[in-house]
Amino acid sequence: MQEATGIKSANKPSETELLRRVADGDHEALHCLYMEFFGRLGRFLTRVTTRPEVIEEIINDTMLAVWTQAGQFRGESKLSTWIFGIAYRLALKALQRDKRATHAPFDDVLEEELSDDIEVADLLGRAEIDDWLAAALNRLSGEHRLTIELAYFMGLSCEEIADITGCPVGTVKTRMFYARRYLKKSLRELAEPVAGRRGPEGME
Amino acid sequence: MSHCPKTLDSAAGYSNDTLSREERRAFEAHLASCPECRAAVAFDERLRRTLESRAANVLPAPQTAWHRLATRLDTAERVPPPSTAADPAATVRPTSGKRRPRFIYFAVAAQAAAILLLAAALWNIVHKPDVQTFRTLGTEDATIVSPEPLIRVVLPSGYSPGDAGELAAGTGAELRTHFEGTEIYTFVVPVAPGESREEKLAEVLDRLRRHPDVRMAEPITDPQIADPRP
Repeated sequence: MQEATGIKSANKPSETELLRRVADGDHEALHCLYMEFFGRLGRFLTRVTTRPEVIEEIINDTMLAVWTQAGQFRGESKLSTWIFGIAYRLALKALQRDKRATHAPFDDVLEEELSDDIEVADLLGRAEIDDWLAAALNRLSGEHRLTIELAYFMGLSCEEIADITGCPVGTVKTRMFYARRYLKKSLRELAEPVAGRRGPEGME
Repeated sequence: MSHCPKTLDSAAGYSNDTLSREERRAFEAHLASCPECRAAVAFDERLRRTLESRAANVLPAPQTAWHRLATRLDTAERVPPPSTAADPAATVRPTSGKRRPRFIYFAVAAQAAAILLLAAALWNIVHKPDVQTFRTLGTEDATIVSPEPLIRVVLPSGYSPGDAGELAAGTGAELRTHFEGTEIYTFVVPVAPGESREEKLAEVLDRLRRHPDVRMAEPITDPQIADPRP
């Protein structure tokens, strides 16, 4: 088995060519694809878990699916979209197994008003905002959490997220909309006890 | 409750820098007059920075991970690729070389169509189905067949099909049918390959039942559903 030294750029085969070779049963081509995607998939998966063994499990299960299904890839999307789509579904299952992730209750989120946005804008300048946001993200449902991570951490467009998650662009936008509203609602809830302790002037 | 539609459409793209130059310019002009979108952009920017600042460096060693995967490759069952004729998209077409005359393809296609029509006619004669599995506008007791999970939903009388579609999208479902003159809707739950049908259905049902406007949300267990109108 060849060591993972990467591929020299001068004669680097394209990802499509590598996949064709993988479909023919070429271990070395899969190894090249594995190294090509390891960092990108890993970066995404660190948003799902901080446990290296779970990240490795999802990456390996994803690439095993690439190995077993390479011949089925029809080239209708980018290879990276296909691979990230597999990883997304596995990550979603991992998140759903995680008891910390709870479904966002949308009932009162739908009733948020514009004035609340302005109130949240005041919270953004607070020192605790990063911790509050991190806590609020853990409260989102798996699908909403991953949509937010794909958009804001991975920097993907709604169209790319739609391809990866296998749902219409409108659904991605709606998920982002509700997720943001839910995050804002959570921020207010998290900030309330602190505000109560500090008094109306915000002084400790 | 009224929200600026651009908050839904463009704010995230603006923050992610995934809008086209024209879209970006138009949205920036809009920002000047829309406090809701300004607040959304400020929030998105903060969210992005928080996510980046919390990027954990917990990646496993790639070499070790690869070696562990490599031991699984030979025992994994591989899905054979579709044949070239059946799946032209899977292969690269040659740009030169001898090609068959086009009329051969038409002739083969015409023969195949004729065989299919004959088979369908024979099937109808031999096999009179007990249940009608399609729906036409003039058929009162038509039925629907769906391989994906379906949910019967009852919404308030003020709801339009557009509102219902939006509500469906917000809960991870899609609007399939609205029975005109009633508040009854059918939502379909899209299930991606590899996803659990039951888990997805339970998740969407849970969201629907938490929604204040949803009067009733029940899964449709019988794949052949009679129209519920009285």
